[in-house]
Amino acid sequence: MVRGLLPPMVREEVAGDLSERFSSSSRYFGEALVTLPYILFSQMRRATSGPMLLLEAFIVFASLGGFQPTDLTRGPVPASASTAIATIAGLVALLLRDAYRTTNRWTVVRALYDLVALVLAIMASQAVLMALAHSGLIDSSWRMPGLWLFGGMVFALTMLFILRTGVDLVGAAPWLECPDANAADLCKDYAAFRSKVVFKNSVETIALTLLVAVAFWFDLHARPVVAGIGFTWIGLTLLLMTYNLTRGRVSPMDEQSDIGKIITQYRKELDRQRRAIRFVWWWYFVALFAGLFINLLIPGIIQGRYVQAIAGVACILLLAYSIIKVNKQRRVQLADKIAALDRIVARSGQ
Amino acid sequence: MNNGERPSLGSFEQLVLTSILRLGEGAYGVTIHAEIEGLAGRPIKLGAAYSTLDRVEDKGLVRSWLADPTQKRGGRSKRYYRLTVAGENALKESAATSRRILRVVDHSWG
Repeated sequence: MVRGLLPPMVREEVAGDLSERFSSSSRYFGEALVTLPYILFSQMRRATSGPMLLLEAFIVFASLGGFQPTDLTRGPVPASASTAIATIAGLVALLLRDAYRTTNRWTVVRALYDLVALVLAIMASQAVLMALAHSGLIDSSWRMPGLWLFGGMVFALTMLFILRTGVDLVGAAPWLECPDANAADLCKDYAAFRSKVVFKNSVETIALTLLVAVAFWFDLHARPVVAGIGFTWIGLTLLLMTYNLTRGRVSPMDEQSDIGKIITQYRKELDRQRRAIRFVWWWYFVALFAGLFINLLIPGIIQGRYVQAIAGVACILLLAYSIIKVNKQRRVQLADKIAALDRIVARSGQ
Repeated sequence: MNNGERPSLGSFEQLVLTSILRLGEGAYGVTIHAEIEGLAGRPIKLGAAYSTLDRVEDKGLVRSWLADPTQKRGGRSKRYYRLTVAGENALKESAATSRRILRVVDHSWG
């Protein structure tokens, strides 16, 4: 049972340490329970970062309508409060998934399981609220409307999938650090990088198509000004998708080239992808920025609700900060990759 | 470590690195924890030791590896730790700071 509670990434050594220290089952179990919170928080900290968590919180909260205007609220409970409950439940699920991960790589399978956990947690939170509302303990407006929840989840899941699979474009390649890493190793690594970019572009195309479809549906029911902005976003997003499909690919490598030429092309493609990803990621969050302006900042200023306006400014700055920091994490990964390539050049004397 | 900056050590991190230094080849979870308690002179939570070990490893001050399993531990492996060059430098700097503090304290309070 204790082994099941311990996160997989540290299960072996922690279970071993506990069994070495404590021969009595009760002391073993007691110490494990006291140790577990420290280990869980440490694994969460290792798996994710503050900015990444903040970005995920923004995505879920905004997608589920947490920033919607108060005049659209169905009952006495503000949308921000009811959405906060679902958001917190979803984030706890993501953090637990991070703590209990079995790999440090941000893989597709891992991302899919993460999203399933998020959905189950949000549905569970809504089920609890429904039970409490039926028993008369809370107002029914604490629950989120079904259609809104569904539409918001589609948006949130799409964005979170892109975020969680796009963070790690260049994986660790330990064979590149071997003294005898050669052109064939580099080509193999380049091929893996190329596959990831192809996959990333495919996922983004599907995701953007879904986002466009959901945005189109929302814009049909939105106020004219909002719809105008929304349709403009759809048009520009379609242009971006076209660019991704036509110019976002990584060129194939001539495997007969020498190490110097391979590395030159590899560096060039890494840099090109870095710039493209940075732009595309800012674009994904344009809708969030627009939502914050339209729902928080501008109404706050016009209606004299200065606390709301300041909250809008704070949210916009926090969102920008999160995007910058997560982009920086990716830049550091790419820089480490380029440094590994440079070490190969140095070792080969070219 | 980011941007080549030398990381500063918290007091508990100093204890952890010192323990690893003292234990040498035998530095793993159980022994490190016992050594920290000896140096600190008070009980220390095992979980606190683990989370600090993770933190200093992420800072690049130590590196760890899983050894072969042993029958004594129910067939489970030990994770050994060793100071990196950056860890040694950080510990030396921290020790130098502590000596400067000690000189001031001795001078002020005898």
